[in-house]
Amino acid sequence: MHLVALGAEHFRNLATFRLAPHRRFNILEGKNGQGKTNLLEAVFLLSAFRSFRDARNRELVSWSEEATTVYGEIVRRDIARTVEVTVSAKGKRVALDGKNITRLPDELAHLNVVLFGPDDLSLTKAGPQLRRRFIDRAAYAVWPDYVTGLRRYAEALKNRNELLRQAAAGGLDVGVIQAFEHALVQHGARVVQRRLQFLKSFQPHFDRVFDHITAGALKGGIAYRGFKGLSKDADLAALEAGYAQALDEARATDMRRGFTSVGPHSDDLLFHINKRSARVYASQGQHRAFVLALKIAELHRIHEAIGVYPVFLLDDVSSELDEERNAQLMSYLDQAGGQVFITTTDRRFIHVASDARVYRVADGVISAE
Amino acid sequence: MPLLPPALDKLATLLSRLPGVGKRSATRYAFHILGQPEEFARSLASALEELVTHVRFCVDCHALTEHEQCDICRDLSRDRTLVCVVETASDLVAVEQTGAFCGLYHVLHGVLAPLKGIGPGQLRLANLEARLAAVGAREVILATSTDVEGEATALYLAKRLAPLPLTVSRIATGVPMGGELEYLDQNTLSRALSGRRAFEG
Repeated sequence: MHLVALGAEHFRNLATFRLAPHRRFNILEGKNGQGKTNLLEAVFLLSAFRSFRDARNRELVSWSEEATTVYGEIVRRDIARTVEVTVSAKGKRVALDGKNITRLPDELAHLNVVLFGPDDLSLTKAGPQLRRRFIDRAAYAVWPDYVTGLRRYAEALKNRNELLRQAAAGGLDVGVIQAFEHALVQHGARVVQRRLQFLKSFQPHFDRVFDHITAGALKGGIAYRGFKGLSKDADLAALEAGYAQALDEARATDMRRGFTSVGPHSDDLLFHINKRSARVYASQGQHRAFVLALKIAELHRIHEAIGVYPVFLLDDVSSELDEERNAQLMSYLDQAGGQVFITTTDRRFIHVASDARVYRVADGVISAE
Repeated sequence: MPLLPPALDKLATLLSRLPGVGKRSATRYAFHILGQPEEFARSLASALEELVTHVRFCVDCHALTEHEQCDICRDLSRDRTLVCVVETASDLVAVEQTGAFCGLYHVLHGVLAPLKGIGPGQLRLANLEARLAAVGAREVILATSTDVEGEATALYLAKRLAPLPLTVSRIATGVPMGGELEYLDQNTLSRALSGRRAFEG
């Protein structure tokens, strides 16, 4: 899967551009603040119809302009599709193959993208939110309808939280809260089941990559931390029963606090190196090795699921990784064979044997060399 | 936009409050009405007037009617042992148009939506149990939608009606007619599988 055309008008600080990206490596070189990451953001927008920086619509549009349009042509197994996303303060409009889509279906797997940015470098150290985002994005790529369950879960959760607050204010209707908890349990258990399934299928890829990166010196592990008593081999019925019980036990506390304390929205991934918590014990180098293995394994897992490599967006991590990790990442990407967009302040960081096209990004102007 | 006569602007502003109608279309409609023979605007005005003076909710099922009781509730040929609970008056029309249902209805005029401040007290539920007893219902079909709020409302009603001597059923969800399995999302397909039934050849 790769982009054969990419263009945008009035997108952030970028001057109108139209590129024919290389099938393999596209190196975006420029000083900081010139617009390199904006270009990655444009590609991400074509995939997910939103920004990876959680930007508001207005922020995506150039100053003094009303709307921005990003355009891409995607080839997957010799079939070309076009996608065009128009963003204005009022909202977004998406056209696929020239046809406007009024209501976005959940499963629009027209363009798979994996992003590796500075945020990801703290995957093993920062709060659980980043790790949930990691597993959710990856699971979505493998099972596009995963997102439907996530959305329904989020909706049930918002409703239960509202009911908890109403209950605290003296308006407890047991029947209503039970009804929404039922929805929460149903969708929540399904989300957890999918995450466990994902981890099971992800682990072999991760093990192989991590073993290779650390030259067999270290053994990495990933565990899922959910409600009390959660077993990674539980079936859906057991997950529903376990989650229902955990909610039951937490209800009194939840009511006092006004929000739901258990469920997939607060679950976490626990990373281990040689059976010890990576967050607590890993060295700086081990953290980076772990993160690198996670991202490369994600590429492999998605490739396994959809039969093609997703487009890889690499946002200036080369300067953060040490020379050895950097070389390992590049050699993996070299072998893997998908399309890659890399931003860097200095192309000398990027050692790839495959063909590459270099673009200079200066003050919002992108020029091919 | 050029300055409109106040009456025209007022109409356009009101029309723009309709769902799916923006200010631009609303203005076009207003001009269109103005361009028609005067009789059209007068009929439209009186139709709107009649709408608000004559149309009200059926005292029993809360469907729309011009009488105390709606036509369906008054129709003695309908099966009074079956009551179908729907969210809106337009859902009632949808079910009725199938011609596959000949029982009575109960229109909730909404679903439980805590975030919008809609609880059981805001739905037309107060007379439900008494009415089911009065008509001698043996089965209640919960036909709320299958989104989170619709499902929660169905579950709430099922529990609330559980003590009554009647069957509570839920409309089926799953494979649409003419649907191809491979294009179904997995949530729908897994529900269709778990909700399967014995083959009636």
